[in-house]
Amino acid sequence: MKRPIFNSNKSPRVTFCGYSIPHPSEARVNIRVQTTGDPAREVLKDACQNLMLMCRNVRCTFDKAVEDFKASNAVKAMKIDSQDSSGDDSEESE
Amino acid sequence: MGQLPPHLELQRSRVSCNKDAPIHTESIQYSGAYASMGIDNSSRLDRFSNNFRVEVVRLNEDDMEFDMIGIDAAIANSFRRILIAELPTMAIEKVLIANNTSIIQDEVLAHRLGLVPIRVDPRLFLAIVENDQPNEKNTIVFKLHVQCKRGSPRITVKSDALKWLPNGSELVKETRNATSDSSSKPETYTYFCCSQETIPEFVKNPIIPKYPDIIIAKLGPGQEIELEAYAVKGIRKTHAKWSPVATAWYRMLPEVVLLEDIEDDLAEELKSKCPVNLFDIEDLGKGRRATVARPRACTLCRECIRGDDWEKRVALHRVKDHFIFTIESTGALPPEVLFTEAVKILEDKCERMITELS
Repeated sequence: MKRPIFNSNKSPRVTFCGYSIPHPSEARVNIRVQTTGDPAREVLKDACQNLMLMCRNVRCTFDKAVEDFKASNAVKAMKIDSQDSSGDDSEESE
Repeated sequence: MGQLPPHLELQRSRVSCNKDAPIHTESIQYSGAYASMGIDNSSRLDRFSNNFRVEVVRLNEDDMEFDMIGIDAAIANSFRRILIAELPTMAIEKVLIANNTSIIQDEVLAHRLGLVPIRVDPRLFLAIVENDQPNEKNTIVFKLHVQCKRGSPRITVKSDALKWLPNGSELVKETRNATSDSSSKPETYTYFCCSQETIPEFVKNPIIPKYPDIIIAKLGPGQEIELEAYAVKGIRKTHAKWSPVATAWYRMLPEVVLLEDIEDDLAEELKSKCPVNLFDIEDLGKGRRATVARPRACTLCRECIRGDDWEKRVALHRVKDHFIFTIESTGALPPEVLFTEAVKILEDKCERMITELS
């Protein structure tokens, strides 16, 4: 979770950002964000917001790609079927 | 906005795999890195959505392979980690053993039962909290009652012997209250208000272990196992039995570049070197030339750059933002659903951070 926030690093408002885990036994992460003038909290929030939007984009693209793949496979399967059954005109489109 | 000169573009977008070690492995994070050239390295959402692509290569019931192009390594890695460690699944947690005269010890038997993958959609259940009572919304009850009679040969108890009890536990709790009226229903170890069979998803697909032939125990003559197993929701961070994927991994797309024309004998030598048959020989009129036919199959064994001078002729790279993801599911959910759920979990985490920060 912390490493993807470092896409915020790519924003021109950020001069430095990093994280450290003080001790592996306790679940604590120190995040440091240094900006060029804007309040750091806002910049971090914007980075999280960006990450969320990116994730949604990833999900949409992925779902569409899976649907397209399934559709093209279904078409291929039907083509093989119609080649197997001689003289059968199966023209049903899903 | 100009273009980076080719050597810088190579540095920014490819990992060069040399004979001894790969170089340029980090992604250039700093937004002002190429400011002196006039190139804006900052990541913007519109540029991301334009460049990002997903191509599915293979999609079966239990595994899938797809390409994600245009995404950062950090995000791809977080998807992989969430897929492995933080997607909830159902697995057997508590085992109430009524009778076990087999040679498999109680705890070993319980451990083995926990590792059996169950074919059920974990999103239909709630996670059980500490002081919650097991009810039909957070527990699945299985029963195993096998007996090997004296005189019959040894039997193997396989996972298809686990029977789903949609009405909850059948083991009755012993109450100390001797005056309890016999008309009330006997108290069992679970508190099911209604049968799980009434939920529409389970009418068509009863809950069973995904693979019916997993060996749980072996019984000799005269031995018996009678137990009830309760499955609850959990994540793999707690214990590996709750893992939704057998494994999930990614690799970056390999790229093989021929730096100069390789002809005739050298071409034959190159083709024979590669263990996965990447190279093909093209027959030109006046000679034969080697071409890269299947770069995707490259395993980076570096055989093609072993030997003198081969490093000047062949260059191995990996494309930094093209990930070939493979997901193998254990059967609870199909792999494409698993990936979508993992992305949703990352979104939830971001939301939680945003609410905490405000």
